[in-house]
Amino acid sequence: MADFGTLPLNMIDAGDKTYQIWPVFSPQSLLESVRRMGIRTPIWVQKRSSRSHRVICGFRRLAAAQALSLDSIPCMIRSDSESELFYLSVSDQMADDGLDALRLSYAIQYAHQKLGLNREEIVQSLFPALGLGRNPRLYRLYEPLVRHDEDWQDALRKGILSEELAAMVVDESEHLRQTWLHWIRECGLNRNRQREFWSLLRDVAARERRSIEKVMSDRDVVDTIQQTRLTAAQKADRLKAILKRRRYPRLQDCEDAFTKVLKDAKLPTGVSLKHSPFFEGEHYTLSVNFKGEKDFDQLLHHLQWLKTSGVIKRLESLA
Amino acid sequence: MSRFNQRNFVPERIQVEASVRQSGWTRRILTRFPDRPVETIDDAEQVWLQAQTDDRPEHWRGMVLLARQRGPFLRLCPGTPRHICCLYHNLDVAAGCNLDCSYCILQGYLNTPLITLYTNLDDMFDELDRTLSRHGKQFYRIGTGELSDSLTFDDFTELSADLVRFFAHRNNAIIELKSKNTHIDHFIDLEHNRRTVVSWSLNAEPIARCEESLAPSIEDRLRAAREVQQAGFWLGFHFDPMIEHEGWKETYRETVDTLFRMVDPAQIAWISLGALRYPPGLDDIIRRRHPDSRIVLGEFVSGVDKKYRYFKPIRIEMFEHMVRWIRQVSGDVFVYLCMESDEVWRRSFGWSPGSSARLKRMLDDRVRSC
Repeated sequence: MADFGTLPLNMIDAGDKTYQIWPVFSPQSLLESVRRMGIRTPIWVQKRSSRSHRVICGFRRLAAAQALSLDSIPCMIRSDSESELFYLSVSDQMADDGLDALRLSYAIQYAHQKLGLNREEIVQSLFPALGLGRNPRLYRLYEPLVRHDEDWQDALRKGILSEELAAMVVDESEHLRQTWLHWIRECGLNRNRQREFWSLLRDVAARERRSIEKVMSDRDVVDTIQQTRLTAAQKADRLKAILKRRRYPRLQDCEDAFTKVLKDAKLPTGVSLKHSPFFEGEHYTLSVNFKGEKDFDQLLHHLQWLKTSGVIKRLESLA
Repeated sequence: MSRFNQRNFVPERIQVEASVRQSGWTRRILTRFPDRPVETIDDAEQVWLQAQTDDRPEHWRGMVLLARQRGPFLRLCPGTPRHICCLYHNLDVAAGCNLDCSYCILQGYLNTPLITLYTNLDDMFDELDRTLSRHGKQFYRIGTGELSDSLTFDDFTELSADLVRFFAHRNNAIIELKSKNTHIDHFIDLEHNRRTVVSWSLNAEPIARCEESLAPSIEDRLRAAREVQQAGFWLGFHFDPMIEHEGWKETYRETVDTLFRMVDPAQIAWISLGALRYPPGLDDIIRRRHPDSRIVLGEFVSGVDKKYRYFKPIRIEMFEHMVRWIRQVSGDVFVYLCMESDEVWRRSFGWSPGSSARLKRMLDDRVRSC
């Protein structure tokens, strides 16, 4: 049911955010538009008393009207049920803002707290209404995001953070979350690299039976992050090397030994030697570029030297 | 009261597919649980689909589905590319297990705690009969422990007895009952004609305690093995998955010592060794389902078959030690590697079968003649 009319602004309780599902930000363009054209689309309100109404849809338009000190605003007065009003409101806000991970998290929180829906009801009724199907994994992924502070929410809005990781760290300490966000910014970690680095951190901490926070505050790690002469990519590479050495010590020893052999092999320009992935196979791959017979002879001579000098034997014993 | 410390599985509810409602095995199982709720359903596939897509695994825990096996019961082990495989045949009589070991591949493969027992077993015995008769010159090693534990439900299915009786009169096949359980009473007194190998999965005691916490202890498994050996059955042992952990040399050594203290090596058909390996994605499942487990913290790298294995020198070191400890007690017992490369064989054992076919022949020869 709906009645159409114009209400004075003082009959609308702008402080009542009952149906504001997620925080809204009024763009300057809307203010300009209202200044020139007035408000042409009515906001939707719910009658609370003869002199008070609650906004259902149109928080931005109301904010613009207030900012421009308008006397009244066109309204559609709705008298639907609480849950119907919620769906109207969420549809309206989605139309304005789109639906990202953080907004979905707000919608889930709203459905829990204000409508009393449980997890199953949210998956079965709210998600399809938002066009998300009935995938319960989305609940696990998005539900925690709203619990992050403003700094994290801002990073989520800007798409800097992996939602999956943001959901995972939501209950970690303030210090850890701040440090992690600092890492992401300092090392320019994209979403994939965030997952990679977090996995390394988590496993190093577990292997060493220490907390992730303690690993993050190790001297070599902190020094790398604080280096002012390094680019973000260089910091990321160095940090990864530090963590990998502690996560895969025997593999890294083997990689180091291989690098040493390569150095001692003094391979001429145009010659490369590679081991199999993770040393899993027995084979090494040697590729050569040469020009002319003289070049070829020199190459053969060097390859023969690799054998006589024991380089090949050393390769055999690596892994 | 069992003489072993064994928690028997009791289903909370049972669903029966209409097409197997009249099967003798269905009736046998239902008779054992007269007070459990039983529901007849038209199509088990609907239930599997629901169970695999349901986000509430707890809803399916404790449920048993008695269903018709759609495909063949007997399948050649798929092996893994560029690794030596023993060319074993799996007999899929069940899918799912109540033991919930942290490393179990079924967590990813079946993706549900629902336990399915196939009860159109007349079809299975017909299929076995046809296959073994048609390929009379081929020797089959067949096991029921791939998608479940061979004995974990045997206290109420009694399937072991049917299998032991069936294979007792086959001269081109043996059945291997591979288990961590101690349900041996339904077959131990039967005539078996040495056509059944009863095998136990063994591990280091701390691993058994933490990662196989619902299974009987190593001591109990070996007590059951000793009884089975006294009844003249072949025994098999599978140190698989071996898991690197603090003090692994001492703890695996202790299990090897206990094994040979309790059973006679002359009656062991084979001992297999395999290091923990898993397909991509299983580690995430293990981390989620078993947050206290440390098994995924090893140095795992992706192999040529895309499965994750310990970095090669770690595997070789573990296998080398195990072979040495076993050889110190018995020079004869046949030890083999499960799903390893020719190189790992050579470097761990000092020799390699070189091919899957040759390994199969060697294993077949262990048990071919009674």
